[in-house]
Amino acid sequence: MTLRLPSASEYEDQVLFSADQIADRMADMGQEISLAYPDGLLIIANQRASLIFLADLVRQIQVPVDYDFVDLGRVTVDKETPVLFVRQTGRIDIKDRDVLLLTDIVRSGFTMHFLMKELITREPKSLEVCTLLHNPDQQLLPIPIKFSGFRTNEKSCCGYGMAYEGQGRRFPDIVTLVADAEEDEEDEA
Amino acid sequence: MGNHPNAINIHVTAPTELREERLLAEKGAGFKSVSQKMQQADRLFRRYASILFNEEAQDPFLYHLTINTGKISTDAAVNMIAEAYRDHLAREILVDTMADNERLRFLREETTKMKNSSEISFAKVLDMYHIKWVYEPKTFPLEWNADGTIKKAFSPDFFLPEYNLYLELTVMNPKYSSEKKQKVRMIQELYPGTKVSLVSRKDFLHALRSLERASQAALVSTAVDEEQEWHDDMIRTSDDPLKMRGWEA
Repeated sequence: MTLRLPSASEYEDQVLFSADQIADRMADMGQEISLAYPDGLLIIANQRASLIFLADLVRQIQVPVDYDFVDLGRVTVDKETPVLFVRQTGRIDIKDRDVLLLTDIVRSGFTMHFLMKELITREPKSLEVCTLLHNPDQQLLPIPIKFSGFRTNEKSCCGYGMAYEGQGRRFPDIVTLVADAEEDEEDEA
Repeated sequence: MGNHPNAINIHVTAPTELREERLLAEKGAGFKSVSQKMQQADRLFRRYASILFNEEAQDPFLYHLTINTGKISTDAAVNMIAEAYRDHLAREILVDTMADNERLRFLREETTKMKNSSEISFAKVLDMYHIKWVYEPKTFPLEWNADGTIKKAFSPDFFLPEYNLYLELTVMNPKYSSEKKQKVRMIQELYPGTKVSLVSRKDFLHALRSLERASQAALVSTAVDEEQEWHDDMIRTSDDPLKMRGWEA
């Protein structure tokens, strides 16, 4: 089975969450976050996939909010042992701040584990997770999710800032990828 | 801060006479008073190091850098500290990498005899994300014979101590997958409070892809990759879904 972006004729059927649904949910999430952080907060957004989510969400938050980005850097000495490290672009000091770690999707929780472990050493006052998409059935590590946009399924998706092989970020809706069945051996022969 | 991973430790010193001169110029107090205060501060610092860390404050091995400002200008000292910090960041990555190498070597060759390559790959994924794990640390008896001997048992693949959670890979034959699901149910019935999660084939492959991506990535290539990805995103195809919906107007 191979995955690909939907074609023009397939697009409508593949919409998982429409732009209108997303806009409504952003307004609700903005209120939820404003109520939870009356004194304001600092959002740390994980990688490029959460850029549009961040941009829409911060405009719905009614308390003081600042934001910064983190990215996972990778180095390899040999091909077997990659090492991750956190790159924080703006270098805003998170010490004693209420920090909300923003991400596009939480599946296994491995990335959140790594980022939280790193950010907690910088001594924030509080550190919580906010995700656009969340699939609790796939989550392996019991990391608490404070704010979640939509509950999703196991299907891979793109759009609204999320890409599949570099494509699809600009779709205004969140769409599921199309799965093409591999040709069987008889067909290939 | 001695062992904090992001800290570098600098010992700045100078000959006593010079320090006294500087303090006199800065504070403008009498020489005797300055000298006494300096000696008192030095004593306190030695006690602080001795009581809190059981270390000699003067031990050069406690510091990344010791700078004698009697022989080095302030500007040069600042530049040296900045350079030491940059070097420390670079070394931190290399040291981590070496530690990971050692851990994996230990894992494969010494204590941990894993049953298959999937488990080794998954251990590498956990290592990559700095998730602590132990391989098959416990066997849970599930059924017993009449004579009390164990008839059926289950040893989940990984234990994650930070989450008090066992993980079992179900990446092989689907037949074994349903068998494992049943065993997990039995563990939860017989050993209440024990948390066991099954890692599905899809989750396993997803984790493996992240490992592959990280293995292939390198610091120097990141900027190039991002630029290429941005460029690729800009490419319009004739079968563009957005054109059909009229967003491109």
